[in-house]
Amino acid sequence: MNAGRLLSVENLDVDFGVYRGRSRVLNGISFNVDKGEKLGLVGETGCGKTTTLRALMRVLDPNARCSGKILYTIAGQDKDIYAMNAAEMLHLRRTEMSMIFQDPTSALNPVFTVGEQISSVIRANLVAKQESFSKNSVTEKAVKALADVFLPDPERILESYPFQLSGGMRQRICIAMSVATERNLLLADEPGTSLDVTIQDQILRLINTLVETKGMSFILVSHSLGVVRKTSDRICIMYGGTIVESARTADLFASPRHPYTRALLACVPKLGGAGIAEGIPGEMVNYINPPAGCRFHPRCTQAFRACREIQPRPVALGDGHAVSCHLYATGS
Amino acid sequence: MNIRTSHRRGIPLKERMGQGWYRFSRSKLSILGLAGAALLVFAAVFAPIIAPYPHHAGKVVDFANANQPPSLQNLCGTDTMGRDVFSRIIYALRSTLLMGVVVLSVAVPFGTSMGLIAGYFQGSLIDSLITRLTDIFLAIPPLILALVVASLLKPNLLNAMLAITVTWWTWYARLAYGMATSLNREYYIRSAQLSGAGWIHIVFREMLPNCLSPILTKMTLDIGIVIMIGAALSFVGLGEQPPAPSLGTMISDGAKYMPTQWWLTVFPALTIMIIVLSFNLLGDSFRDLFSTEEKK
Amino acid sequence: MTLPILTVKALKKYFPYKKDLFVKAVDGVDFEIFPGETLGLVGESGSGKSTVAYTIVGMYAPTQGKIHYNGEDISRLSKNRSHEMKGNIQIVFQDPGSSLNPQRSVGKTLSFPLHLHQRNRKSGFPTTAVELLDSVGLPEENLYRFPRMMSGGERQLVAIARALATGPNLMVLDEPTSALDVSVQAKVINRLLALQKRFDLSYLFITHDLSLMRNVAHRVAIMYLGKICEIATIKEFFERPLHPYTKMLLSSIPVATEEEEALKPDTAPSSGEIPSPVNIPTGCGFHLRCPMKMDVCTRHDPETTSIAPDHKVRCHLFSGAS
Repeated sequence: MNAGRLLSVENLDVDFGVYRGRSRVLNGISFNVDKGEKLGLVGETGCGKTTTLRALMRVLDPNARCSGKILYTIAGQDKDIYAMNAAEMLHLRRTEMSMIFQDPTSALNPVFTVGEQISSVIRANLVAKQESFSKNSVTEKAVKALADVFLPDPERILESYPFQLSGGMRQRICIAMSVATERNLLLADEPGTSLDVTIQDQILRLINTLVETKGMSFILVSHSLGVVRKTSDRICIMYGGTIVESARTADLFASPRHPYTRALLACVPKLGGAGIAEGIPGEMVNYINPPAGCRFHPRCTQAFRACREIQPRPVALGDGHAVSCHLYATGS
Repeated sequence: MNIRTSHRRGIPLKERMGQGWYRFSRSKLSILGLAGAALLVFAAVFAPIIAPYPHHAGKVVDFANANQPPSLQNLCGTDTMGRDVFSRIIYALRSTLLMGVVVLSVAVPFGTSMGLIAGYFQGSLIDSLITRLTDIFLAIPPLILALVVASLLKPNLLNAMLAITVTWWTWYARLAYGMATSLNREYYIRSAQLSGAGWIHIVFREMLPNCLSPILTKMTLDIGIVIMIGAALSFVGLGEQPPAPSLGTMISDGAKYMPTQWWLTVFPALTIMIIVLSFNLLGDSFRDLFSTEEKK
Repeated sequence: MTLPILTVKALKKYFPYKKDLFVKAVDGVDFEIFPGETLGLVGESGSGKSTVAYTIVGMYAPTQGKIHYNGEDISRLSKNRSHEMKGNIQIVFQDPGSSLNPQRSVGKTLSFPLHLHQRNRKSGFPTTAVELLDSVGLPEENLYRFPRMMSGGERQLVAIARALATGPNLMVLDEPTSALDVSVQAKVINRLLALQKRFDLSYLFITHDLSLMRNVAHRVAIMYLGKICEIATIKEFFERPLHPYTKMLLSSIPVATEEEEALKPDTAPSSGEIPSPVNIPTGCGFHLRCPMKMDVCTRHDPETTSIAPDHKVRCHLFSGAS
């Protein structure tokens, strides 16, 4: 494996049992994250991006079945997350990975003070690393964590309950909880979406700064192309449980290849006022009975016979730009 | 299949019921409750066929066979008049379940309507009137109130049902009131108001369908309690009069002969227990079913 | 010179909160909407934009100020307005999940307002549920579907169809696409624009998304803490944003292309949070976060000045300019 690689997802399939059968949500997801890299996962509602994040931390529904490999590099060794036992997984969650959720209000427990919640995260981390700690050292770390996210008057905030604080502050606290202890991988599920746009802007810049200064790797899930453009080094576009295109940020916006990526970009209202495209015909994938071949083909204006029969594999276009589309497939 | 017919009545109704059954059947207790309730209803409806001695429900005297303990001929023994206890229990089920059904059929619609109307017009005179009325009734324990009302009237089954109905509607009014006040804030209710809809349409066509789940759950749980109160009334002689069999009367008559002729009291009491347990389990499972549905 | 279809003058809406305290949700707002045009109302949480919308529609009664529709004074609750007036102004709410009754089929939801207003509806509007569905691009089978079976975009289209059922002239759209994916938003917005042309509708379009506003509105008003800071035609607004809050909003928008990035004004990035509307700062409500704050801003609330015929701004930086 590449020396700089932190996470490698290979052919991840996830399906859930529902009344009508099995819902095959993720279909052969593969991507990598290097150390210190910021990856953006973009897709619309129901494309499976939250499921992907949950699969990475192994917090899926009990009736979910996964296949494929998720390799995480710890101390130079690659370990398959799904081959780990419960203790190893717990250790991973306490020391290596952390997640920021979309809605900061429901991510914080309303009956505990902010101080109690941050302290419990810090303590769990120190226990996992088998380091000793005292009440004071934990409090110190908590104060520093809040200062890192530019919250004024940290001592007062530690004594407060979440309902006494604003949405922006709660999101900062969630971020503080995630970066209070040294982690290597930060997962964020649409942070700031439930907040005002000016506050969201501040939150995203904050996350960017923290990730860069601490050298963390970062996977950001969002439905907004504009958001990932500001925060990611590389972007993967997801549709119907598959990754249809992945590229460096600049390349993706300069030359989008996949028909879905192009359609999506055309739908975004532009500040220049050129009008908005008509939208994408058709409906979201039915995961219980997904289309054969390429999952996007029923909605694609350029679909042809191969699209209906064979699932496209990623084709490398050079410079880290890959597309899963028969239009670019070499050979037949 | 024609799109129109398959979408009629908002399908997939079949599928929705199928989904409901899927979740319902996962809990063994729910199935038990359903089975118990079904069995009781079946027994009550087909009493003349199931009861081994159907005529024992009426005026029969057979002193030769009186006070026999349970045996193969008399599954629950015979009573002081020689009547088969098992058959009498089966027949008593009729008046018992009938009481539950009738009381709720009257109390629930009336109480729900009162509560919804008061809730919709929250803050107005109508609201105050109805709320005060329900508060008064709710302040008195239902059994006491039922006893008082029943004792003022001629003792028979109909009056016993009346007595319980008079006290019971208030619980539903309270429940519906709470729901109406929260529904008042829903956007679809506001939308209807802004378009000029009248209160009858809003209360009964827009709000009521959204209240059905908790009401249905409470109704099922209530069947057991209403039946117990009915049994309590007949225990003190204020319900179904002899010779018609009634579980409460059978228990009170048999109490004198405990513990030697234990079957006279124990079997009717067990029956009441089974009735209450079955409907409680059923009601509980409805509550779980509807709450998980809302979470979707 | 066409007359405005809606005139709002000095509108104030205060909500009582504890003894002698008020939440000043709307604190003096003036604007007009002309027939067939879209006025965009932009603001973040606490700006009062939804309260303005709800007051116009009649869910709230104004505390002070007047609202006129085609010259008629409608400054009161909807239930005190004429039945015909109820049909003239309609609203589409933000959350598609809760704006339709989950226990009623789409057909019932649509036929009811059709029936209520069959006598006063103007000609040219759909008269049956099927026609309504057709006008928003939904096929007939949807008559029998329930909201829970439908996606967010479809539900929002049904909400729009329901608003059309009464034959309105003015539609208030309260963030109609904020909860939708971008491709679904595109579909709904294009449909709204087509309906506007077809039925000559006026829109009061409320959103926090300025990129969307750019493509939808003819004129824009920016609100902050209950007052309008800037109001201008789209062209004026994007070519010459004046108010510091406007510039802060514009620079916060996440955009997807470099050209758009170039269109954004250079300004200090956003800082601070919106104060609670119970506790509005003295002087100009924005001064706590304003990068261009002057001494006078902490003491006096600025007056609205006309910079150009179509461009008004409320800021001490420009008061005194002719």
